[in-house]
Amino acid sequence: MKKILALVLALMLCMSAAVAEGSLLNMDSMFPVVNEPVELEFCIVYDSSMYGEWEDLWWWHYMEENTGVTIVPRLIAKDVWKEQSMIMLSSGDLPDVFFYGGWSPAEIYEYGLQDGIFIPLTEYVNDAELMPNLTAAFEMYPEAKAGSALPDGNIYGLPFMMSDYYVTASGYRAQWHTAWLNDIGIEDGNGIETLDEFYNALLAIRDADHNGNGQADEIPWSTYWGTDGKYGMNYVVGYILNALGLATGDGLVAVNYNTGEAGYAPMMEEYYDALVFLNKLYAEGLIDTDMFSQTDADMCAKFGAGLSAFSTHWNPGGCCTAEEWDAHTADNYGDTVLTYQKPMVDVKGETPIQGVSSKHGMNVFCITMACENPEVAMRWADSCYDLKTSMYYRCGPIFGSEDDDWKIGLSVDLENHKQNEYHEAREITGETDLSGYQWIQCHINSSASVGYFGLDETLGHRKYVDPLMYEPGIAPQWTDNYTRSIAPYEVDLYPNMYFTEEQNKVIELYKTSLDEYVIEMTAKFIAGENTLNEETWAEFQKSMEAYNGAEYNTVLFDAYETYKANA
Amino acid sequence: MKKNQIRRSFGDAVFDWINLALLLLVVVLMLYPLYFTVVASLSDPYATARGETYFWVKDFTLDAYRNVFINKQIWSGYANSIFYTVVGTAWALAVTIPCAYAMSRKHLKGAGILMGMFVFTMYFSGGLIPSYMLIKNLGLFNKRLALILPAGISVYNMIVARTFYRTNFPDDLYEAAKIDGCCEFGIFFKIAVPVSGAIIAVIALFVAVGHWNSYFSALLYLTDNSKWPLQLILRGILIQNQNMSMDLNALRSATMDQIEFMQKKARMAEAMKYSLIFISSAPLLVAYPFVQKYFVKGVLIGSIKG
Repeated sequence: MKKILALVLALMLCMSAAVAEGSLLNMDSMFPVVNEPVELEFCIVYDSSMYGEWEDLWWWHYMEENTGVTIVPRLIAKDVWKEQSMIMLSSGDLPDVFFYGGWSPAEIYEYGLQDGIFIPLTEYVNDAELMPNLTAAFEMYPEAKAGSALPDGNIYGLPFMMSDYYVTASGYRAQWHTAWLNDIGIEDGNGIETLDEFYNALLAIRDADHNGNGQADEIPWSTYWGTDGKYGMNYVVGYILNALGLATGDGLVAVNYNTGEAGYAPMMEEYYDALVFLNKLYAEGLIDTDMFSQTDADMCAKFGAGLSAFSTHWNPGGCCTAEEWDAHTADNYGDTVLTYQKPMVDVKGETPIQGVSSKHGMNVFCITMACENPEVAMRWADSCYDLKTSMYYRCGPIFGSEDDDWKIGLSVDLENHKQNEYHEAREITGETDLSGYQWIQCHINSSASVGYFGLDETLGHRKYVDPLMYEPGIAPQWTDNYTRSIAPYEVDLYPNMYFTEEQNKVIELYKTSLDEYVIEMTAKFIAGENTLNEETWAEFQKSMEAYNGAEYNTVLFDAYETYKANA
Repeated sequence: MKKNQIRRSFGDAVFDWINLALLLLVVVLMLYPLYFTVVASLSDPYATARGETYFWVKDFTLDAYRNVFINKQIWSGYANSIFYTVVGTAWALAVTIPCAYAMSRKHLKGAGILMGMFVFTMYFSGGLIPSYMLIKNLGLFNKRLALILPAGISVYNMIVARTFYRTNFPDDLYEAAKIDGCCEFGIFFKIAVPVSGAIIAVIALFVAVGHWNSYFSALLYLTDNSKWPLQLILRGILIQNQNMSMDLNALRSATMDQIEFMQKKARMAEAMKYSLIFISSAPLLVAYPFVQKYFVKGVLIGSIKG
């Protein structure tokens, strides 16, 4: 009798021990994530001009209710992020998770690999049982997984991934004021295909006196260089390089689609052609001769006064008057007021290219060494890669139903959904220009630097969703426009990736001074301060050697080849 | 007799006129930026950017002020700044004046050592990270007191006040009061404080101006932007415009409504620039003429007389 009792007690003990072991995480379903309440401290960066109260942020409370994980927020405004992050990382006062997407690869390398502040997530990421949604997402986008790994093979931050339907005007936003084009007999931005036609159009505009005041005060292409030249390199030099076949984001690191290789743009022949072209424009007053001394505001002022026709600014609205922009949006981004320039080519008949950035970003979700429950945090993150959760993050609680896989939002309960508050807010405050984006930041997710997290399938489908919410946002006409003029030519820019340790060293040592030198010389060549001919070009190439340009170029080339081989 | 003044020779007159001209030039140089700020705040921002506003308002518009007034953050910043200035000044006075009085008494035991410690902190400090950790460990992080308590004493002000007390409150007065049976606190509150009207005004002024203009401590210690002073909010609005243009990689993948929103913000920031500057400096500009004489006296107060 006693033996049996002892046996039964022993069995019960064993069973309870077995149950107690894995009881924290709920592995049976996505929600809830934990069986007992767990607290995680998140550091969330927000834009102070768009912040609503923490209690009002719908998505975070949705997650708290459903996952069982209480989130203790440490909210830092974007303006003070630089100083605060430096202090947090140096003083050791770390949150559990950094929910911030603006880390540069160098920072991840330093804080992750070198200092060990961010823990490696590889074991969790590879655990398909712990993270089913992430594994499925990585199957859809294998390049995201490959690109997230640091040279030591570990992943330190989770990436976000965007679907192929991601339709924005990414890449170059080059637009004309349609009326000016009509003056010289061209209908819209598709009428100009080559650089020569572009040059002729600018020439005609300069002489056409659009504002009819008898003075030749028109500046066909108004732009600015920026104090460190980065803006100019991107939107002026980079734009012309794009037409010559180099896909480049900053005008310096480029993938040459004529040869299929990547490298340092100033060392390629096409760079010389671009400089010659820009110098010609500058010398004839076709591009703003004030560009090296003026600022963004000055440029916008010129457009505001109706003095300029063409711009490659990231913000098309800044390059026209308020009335023109209202008219353009009222026209659903049609071609009447502003028309978008099709990517150009050097020689007629070639296929144009349009460099677009990777469809995945890096390191949005980093777990620090202060976290006591990293598996809980990872499983929490995994639930964000579920389509419904990430769509809720991006757009709030509307869209679709289980039946149509949450992709196309047709069967929405319009009576009761949270978006009604948006419509009410517009009516009550009378702010008819309350931006949908702003409302989402204030009421749904408020993470300024994590615009997208998880898997983003939403944007291409926004034409199906609440039209008032996104009016005059992405309208069918806009997506058609983009699909027609830009989408067919999309090519990848130099990919987001991590370099090996030796490559990192080379980049750290040489990149800054080399870039500065090149930007300065480019400005001088364009402005005509240094004459541009074969001789001076050869000298320029040689002088880049003194800045270790060849080594840097080799690094870029090798890394790209490795990337291509692994992809 | 007609006039009671010495006749000015021709040379003197020329000297006077040249003096006048130079001083007027300096006045114009000082006043023109203030004037320009007011004029620019009432003009169309892009006209100002084109350089078309010199003396007169161009394209009069009240949009800048309207944008400022509807921005709730600016109002909360104003309230916070006033709070920090008033409370911070009161606290600083409550700490500095007794300290200076005590240090001025020659019979204070250990005065030399104390003074040495004070002066040491004028030259050496822990640095940014240790200060942050100190504030955090004191439990002051993200609390308004973090801007008030640590900023209580400035050793420089304390030394100036100490000198004042040494000269204006001599030991004989102290002895006399002691003989009459007054206790130390009594001497301080009944005799020293009433006499030190000037020094209180001067220190209050220095500290108030310092608090009104400060932004760095708030940047470090306050993450909740409902507690931010006006200067920090101003900074946020004005640098946002610059930050946006520089974040080129992020812009690449921004959606249309995001772009629209950023564009609107950029326009507003440009328009609000001058009106913001004017509104944030206005209180000090208004108060200054009334307290100017104290400033002038205050500069000299620390110097040893005779």
